[in-house]
This record gives sequence, C-alpha cells and structure tokens, in this order.
Amino acid sequence: MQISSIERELIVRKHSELIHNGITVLPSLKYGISGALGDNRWTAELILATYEQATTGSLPNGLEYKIGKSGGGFDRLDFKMLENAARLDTRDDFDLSIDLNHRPFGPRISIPIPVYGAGMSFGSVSLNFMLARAIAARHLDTFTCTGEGGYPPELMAYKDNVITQVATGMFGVREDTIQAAKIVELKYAQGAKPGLGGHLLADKVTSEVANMRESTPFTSLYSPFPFHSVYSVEDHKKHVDWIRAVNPDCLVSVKVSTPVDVDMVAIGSYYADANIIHIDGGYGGTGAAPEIAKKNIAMPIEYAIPKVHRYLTSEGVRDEVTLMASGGIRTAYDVAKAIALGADGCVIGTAEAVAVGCTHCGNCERGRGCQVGITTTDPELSLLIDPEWGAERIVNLYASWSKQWGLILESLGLHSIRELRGRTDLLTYR
Amino acid sequence: MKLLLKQASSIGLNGEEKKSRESFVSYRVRYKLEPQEALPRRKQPRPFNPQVSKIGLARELVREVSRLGFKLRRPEYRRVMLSRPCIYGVFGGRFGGFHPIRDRCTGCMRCVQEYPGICNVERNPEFFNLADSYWIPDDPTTTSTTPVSIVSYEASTGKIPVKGMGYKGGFAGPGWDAIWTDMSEIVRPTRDGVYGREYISTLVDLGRKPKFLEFQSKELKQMSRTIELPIPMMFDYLPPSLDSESIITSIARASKRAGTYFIASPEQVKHLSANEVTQLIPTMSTSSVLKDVQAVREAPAIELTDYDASEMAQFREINTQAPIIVRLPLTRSSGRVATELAREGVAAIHLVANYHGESWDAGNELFVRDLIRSVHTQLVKEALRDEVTLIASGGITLAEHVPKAIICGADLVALDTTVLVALQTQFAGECVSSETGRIRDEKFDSGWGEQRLVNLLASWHDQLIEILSAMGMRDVRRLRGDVGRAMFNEDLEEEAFADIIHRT
Repeated sequence: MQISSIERELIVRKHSELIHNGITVLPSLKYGISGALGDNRWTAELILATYEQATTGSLPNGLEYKIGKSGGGFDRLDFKMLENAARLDTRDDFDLSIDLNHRPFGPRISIPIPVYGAGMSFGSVSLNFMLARAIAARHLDTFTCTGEGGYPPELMAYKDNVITQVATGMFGVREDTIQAAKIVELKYAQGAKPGLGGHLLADKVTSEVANMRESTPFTSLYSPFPFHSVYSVEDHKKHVDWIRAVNPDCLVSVKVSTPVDVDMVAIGSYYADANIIHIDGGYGGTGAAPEIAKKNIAMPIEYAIPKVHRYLTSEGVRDEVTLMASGGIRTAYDVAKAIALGADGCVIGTAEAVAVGCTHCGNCERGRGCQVGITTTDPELSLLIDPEWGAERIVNLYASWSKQWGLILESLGLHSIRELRGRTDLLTYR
Repeated sequence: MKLLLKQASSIGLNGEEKKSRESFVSYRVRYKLEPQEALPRRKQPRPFNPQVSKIGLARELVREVSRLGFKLRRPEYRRVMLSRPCIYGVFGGRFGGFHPIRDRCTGCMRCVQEYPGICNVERNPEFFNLADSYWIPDDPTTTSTTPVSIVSYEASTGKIPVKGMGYKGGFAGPGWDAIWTDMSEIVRPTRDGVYGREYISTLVDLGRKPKFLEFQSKELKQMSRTIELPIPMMFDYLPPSLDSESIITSIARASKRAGTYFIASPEQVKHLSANEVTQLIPTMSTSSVLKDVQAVREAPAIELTDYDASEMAQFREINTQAPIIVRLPLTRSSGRVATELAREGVAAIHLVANYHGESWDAGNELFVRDLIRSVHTQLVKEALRDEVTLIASGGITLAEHVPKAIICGADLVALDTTVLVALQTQFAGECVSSETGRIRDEKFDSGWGEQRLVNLLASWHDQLIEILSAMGMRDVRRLRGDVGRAMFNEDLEEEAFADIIHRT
C-alpha cells in the first residue's frame, strides 16, 4: 500500500522519537540488559556505554566501557599506570592533536583529536547518517570519509572536513570531488572483506544510489579487487601522482588491509609518496561481508600496527609518514592502545554507528537494511536519523573519549598523545 | 578436465552447436555446482526469543489512544498508531505484539530500543543444543550464529553466509581459529573467481606421482593412475552407527553430481545401483580385499584400513591402476608411519583425527592442524611429499577449515560429521569417534539429502575461491603447505607483543 508523505512523516517521527528515547534510557539499566544484545567484540555493556557517552559526553557510570570480551588483542592489553604521586595534574592542557602530514610536501593539516571517521559509502549507509558524521567532523575540526559510493551534493557544504575516497570500483569518482577534498583516500582494501573488494547488494541500490554510482538500480554492485591498473609499487606511485595531478593541494591517504607483508606494503606506499598510510585490520568494517572473510583473512590490527611501526622505524622513515589504524577499534582505550603500539591515530567507523543507535546486530545486508536508519537506503528507515541529532551524539562520544585520553595521559605522565606513539613499554599484556 | 567436459556435454548443447563449441567449451567451462533451495526438513530452533509484556503493551496502546484522541478519526493516524517497531514482521501478525511471530526475529533489538520496559529479546538456549560440544561456540551467551546454523544455511541455500558490521566472535580460538589467511594488495588475479571472468582452479589429484619413470626388465613399471577431484573435498566413511540408507544414498548421489568421491564399505552401498556407486572408494582391510573382488576391481581408488606390502601383488592382479589410500589414525608418530608408507609406494595417506579434531594419543591429544603440519613437514624433509597425496579428516566442520587444512599440508579433506549436520541428523550424545558416536535412526528423502550436500559443497567451493582470490592464487594446489601465506596467532602474538610486559 502506498502511504502518503504525511503518514510517512508521522511514522518516522513516532519511531525516531521512541528509538532516541530508548537509547537514552537503556544505559541506566532500569530495565536490565537484554540477553540478545552484543557479542564478544561489542559486548552489551560496550554498546550501552557508547550510548551513554553519546548522550552525556561524559564517562559512563557503572558500565564496562574500556574493553570487550574477545579474549585477545586490545582486550588483553592494558596500560602500566604510574603511581599517584608521579602523575601529572594538568588535565586540561593535554594535547590530543596529531599532524596528518609529516612530509615536506602537501598542506599542513592537524586534527585536534587523534581520530577521524572511516569511509562508509552512500548506499551502504543512509545519507542522513553521512550528514550526521559530516556535521560532527566539522564541529570537531576533524574528518569523515565518503567511502566509495560517490559524493552526495549535500556533503559539499562540509567539504573541508570530508575525505574523498577513490576505490577500485571508481563509483562516483569525479574530478570536482577530488578537487574539493583536503584529503583523498585511495582504497586498495578494507578490513571488512580483505582482498575481496566491495559488494553492495541489489536491495540497497536504489535509484538515488544507482544515479550517484552511475549504475543500474536494484542490481548488485561489485567493486573489483584490486585496482586493475595497479600491479606494482610503480603503478601505485602513478595512482598517487594521478590524484596529485587532479588536486595538487591535497594529502593522499592510502588505505590497505593487513596481509602477511603489511610492512612491505606500508614502505611501498611511503615510497609512492603517500602522506598517510591507513591500515585496516581484518576484524573491522561496517559493511556487509562474507563471514569467512571477516573472520579468517588478514591479521588483526593489534598485530599489524607494531609490525608496520617497527619496520618504518627501522627504515628510518617513520617520522615522515602518518600511520592511521582501523578495524575493530571500539573505545577510547583501544585508540590509546593502538597509538602506544605505534599508530599516530585511528579511523573510526562502527563506534560512530553505535553512537546513533546501532546494536551491532549485523543485519545491514538484509532487505530494507538497518532498523535504526544507519546502513539503509530505505526511504522510510533512512529518515530515522536526524543529522543534527546524530552529529550531537557523535560529538558527545568524542568528548567522552577526549576525557578518557586525558586521564590516560595523566596517569602515564605524558603531556601529549603524540608522546604515546610506539610506547609499548607503557603497555602490559595478560 | 574430463569432468568439465562431461559437464559441458550435459548442459544441453546439441547438434552442430555442440560440435562447434566442444573445443571452446573445454577451455571455458568452469566448475560450478548448481545450488537449489533445500529447506530444513525439521524446524530448527530460532536464535532469539522476543518477549513482550502484554500488560505493558495494553497500557502503551491506551496511552497512545489517549494521546492521539480525535485524530484517530483519520485513517492515517490509526495506521500510525498501529505501526509496529519490528521491520522484520515479528509483530506483523493479526494480534501484533500480543502474539509475536518469534521465528521472524533477527535480534535487531529495535523493539527493545523503542519499548525498553515492554519488549525484551533473549537468546534461545535450544539454538545451541544441536549436534555436540564440538559444534557449540565457546561462549553461547554472546553469539547468534553457530557452526550448526552456518552449515545449515549453506546446505539450505548453497550461498556464502554474509553479515554486516565486522566480525563478532572471539579474537583467536584454539585450533583452526588461530590461523588467518593472507591476502594480496595488488599482485593477484581479480576477485572474479566467484563472480565472473577469471578462472581459479580447485582441482586436485589423488594418487601416486613418482619423481621419475621406473623400469623393470626394460618394461615400464606399472604405475597406478591418479584421479582428479574438481574440489579438494570428498566424503569420508561413516561407521554403521552414524549412517543410514538415506544418508549413504544422499552422499553417493551428491558425490556424483559434484564429481567428487565418497568412502564407504562395500556393505554400506549394497542397496545402491551400479550407477550410483561410480564415485565409491571402498574402504576395507587388506585381508578382505580378496573377499570382495568385484568392488575392488571396479573401484577408482581403494582405501585400506591397514597396510601389508606383501599383499599388494595380489591386489594389483585384481585392479592394476587404482591408487591405494591407507587410512592412518593421527597420532604423534604419524609422521614416521606416513614416511614409511610413502616409501612403500602407497599413493595416498588418509590422516584421520577424531570427530573433534584430536589425535588418538589418549590423554595427550594434539589438534589435527598441528599433526597435518608435522606429517607434511616430515614428508617434505624426506623428499617424499610430492609423491603421495594427503587426505585429512576429523574436526573439519566449517568452510574455512578446508583452506586452512590445505595450508597446513593436506591435499584435500574428507567430510564426516558435517554431512550429518547438513542432513539435520540428530546426534545421540557426544560424537567424538566412529566407535562412540551415535545418531538417531531416521529416514528422509535422499533427493533432498543430495541437494543439501550439493549446496554445502557449492557454498564451500565458493568460499574456497574467496580465500584463494584474496591471496591471488589461481590454483588450490599451490596452497598446499604454503604456511607463508598464513598467519598463526602464536607467531603473530610473539612478534607483535614481544617487548610488552606479560602479566598473569
């Protein structure tokens, strides 16, 4: 049955108000924790703690917000905190900023927090969620990323905070969107499906999505893997040069996954003149992907970061390139641990989705897609997220994370998040 | 290639078209199984239990009626009032939340988000009580998929399981879950192995491959042939306590459709027609070879449960060419035994762990993964590896276990209890070994069973291609023993966290 626009508006308003109220109330545990919520990586408490942080902008009260129950990696790493007397007492002065360009060429760009948003394409996620992330990025003076589904015109208002992604399918890649971006990301691989390219199922390829991607509506879209024009480091350099030829004033980020030789891949990207090397670990990703790929292909980011950091250091080029890490980074503590392992900063996807109501149920690929309006192109569901509301929640989440980073630095006796990079001596492993 | 040609000739070409395309087809037709939906014959427990407080729901309805008041005279407002939180239709029945349709619940939790005091979703404990302990996830309280549900989905649809929002399981488990496979960023064929242009071969050979020709009195010494399997998977022998006519018939027919082979005793296939046992590899003891001459004569290969070199001459008189496979229970000394067998001229060694993937060293079990590696490595050291085929079975229950077993050194795997799960057989207690495992006896349509197993193989074949294409490999035979294209948790952990203080 066709429903009128008024009726749709009323339905959307009813359910969005109920959802927004629900995710505000649930962390209070007034109703307990639903047994079906969460999993080993994103436990129910982590999800609820993220809801709470996104609501209040402060540390959660009574919920585990630091680690999950995966039994490895970040969940077994901890910080070696100093005794009280040796701690710093200048919480407000902690420097959480990082530089995104350490090269002698390209613009100087710093972000005030050591994170920016991961690529999630139009089609895999709703326009409203993209807008929420873009508004939040502008507010925080950091970045979000288009993913490979093209650059919706609505994002142009936030272009100074939007990274344009150029991926293997070249969906929606245009000169003007490359020229509009301060950072262009060349995506070779992604943690959600390392080595397998992108895959947008037919149900989600609406007319708008197809138009943006210059494809046919309701036909599954496969991004090939890899770039069919890149079969060597020299070809890779050609790609980086191509981006710079289109936009000489941008930073080039190279996003790769974490194969056995991830260190060699990183040094190859360095010699191809990338400003940012972005490694995406095998357990991450927000998109729908074959279970076999998510679980079994490529190494977890916790192992990849020290491998790359050490190799770049041993080659004497570590301080010339920015190393960003992603793939299963859920909390402020994960970010800090990733930096201590050797990254400069992290790229966040899932946590931003959880901030606006994601339950990590994994039904993103089914029929209409996400029930709370994140990974969907359904005309009704995609309106459940009001961009301003979503942006506020994402900003609140990072406000809470910033407080936690301050506390970590304080207890480690450090003044700046940059001092934490590669400080594995400040970590313990159980 | 023979199988591909056979498939090509059976795809419906005729007359001139067939003739003109035969040479073309021999290069272009790729191995592809045709899955068809084969829904579970027995309703499976759902993973979630959505619960609704009826009193709470009634109160909510009253509250909403009073809030909307006169607006309810307009139909759109009535529809808005009745619009329900579940997009999967759990409350889509006539009585809405008063009688939820639980089977539709996907655990998305929107109902809980919208009505936290009224709705709740719990996990269904029955969902995990299928098969036996090897099939239950480490932490059932945090998962909505189990190996049983994954195999069931694959057998029902023939598709690759897909889900969103990253991996949800533990970091690294014991056994197979402590291995990650490699991927290649740039130098590799395209991913089109599954979806299109580029062909990735999953064909493996089973049989002896001597390093050089041998002569006896100027005559070429008789060699056994090799047989080709289009996929590195076959069906293992199931003992009488774990089989039935329906199961064996399903396996035999699925083997034929897939072009692979199945191991069974001659007694188990007596009810099958000659046309149905063309893919049979009979398993028997050396002493019984002469008792069943016909089965031995017609066998494409034969599996012996013991090996006596002095009896082989007699065997060769009956069947001059069939490769001999020796079934070898995996223990810590399997490497030495396998080396001896390879020297004796055995064509293939079937390394058999128990159904939970453990070796047969009582009280001191090792996992099948480590034992395959050790046998493979020993054969490599003795320069014998390329001469024999290694088949691995036991504890191989998910699609990812196939490439991992091959990386560890197997040429191919044989499926055992996975078949039972795909056919929805009910385990009676723990099913650890062929001696102790029991299932409930039941009959089912073997046409359905055949399709379930074909679907399973189709899904696993596609998933194998996903792994190979991610690595940039065009041939599964190149993967054998290539541990350099895999990452082991213990190695990565040691390397990455070596300089971090470990505390207990």
